[in-house]
Amino acid sequence: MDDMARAQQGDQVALARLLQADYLSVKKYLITVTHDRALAEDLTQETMIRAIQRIGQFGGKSRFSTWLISIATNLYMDTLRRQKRERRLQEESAFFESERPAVGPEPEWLEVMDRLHALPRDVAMPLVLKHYYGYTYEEIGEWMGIPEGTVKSRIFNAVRALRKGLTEHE
Amino acid sequence: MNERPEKWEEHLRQGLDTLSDLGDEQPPELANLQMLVADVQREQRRQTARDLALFWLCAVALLAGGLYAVSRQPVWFLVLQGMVLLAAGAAWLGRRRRVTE
Repeated sequence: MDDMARAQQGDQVALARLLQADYLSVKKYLITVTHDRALAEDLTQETMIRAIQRIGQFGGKSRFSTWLISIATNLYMDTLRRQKRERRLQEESAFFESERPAVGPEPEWLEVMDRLHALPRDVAMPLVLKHYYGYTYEEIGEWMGIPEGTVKSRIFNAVRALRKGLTEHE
Repeated sequence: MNERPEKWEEHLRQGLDTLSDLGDEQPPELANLQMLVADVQREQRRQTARDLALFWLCAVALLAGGLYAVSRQPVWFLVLQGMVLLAAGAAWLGRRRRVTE
């Protein structure tokens, strides 16, 4: 019997092992969508708790890590709705301060990241899920609770925003 | 056929790789996660027990009220039952209309 079967039958060590294996990938994912390490840490913890509560509902249609990402996405969407963090996040200007060189030219990707950071979170998130993680429009729509067409249009707008500055320079 | 990624895609990848770099950070110890699992599952069992107790309490109260009414005031009991049925039917129709719109 594998860890998943054991975990679903109530084996706490097996479940802890599964969570441990994917803990960092969930945290990394949440950092890429929230751009906020403290928030990402909190949401990772919440994702683990939600996964423990719902382990019986995991049907095995997707990988366990994908299931965790879907939970994390849902939780982040709830956070955005509940606390209206979007406005606050966009008012933050210190994004990537630690990565900016004190002297000399900035790396080229910083401009793209600044543009990404300037996008509303619910527009940037589908772009990251699609173009960085490779999830399908259908999966993204399901996790974010929006129609597939809306996912496509948000990604289209996000790509246009990221591409704009670069094409002007080229 | 592999399409060559556009420049913005390369920059996005580089940026997100840098942003989410966790260095040599390790996941929590297995024992800590096991404690978390135990705590969450214990709380879940408590919550389920509370919900079930509340459900049975309401069910018993409703049943007792119903039995009292049917033995003492059968007419009012039937009127009340009819009103509940009508309200449930109206709610169902309203919901169905919203779904089809």
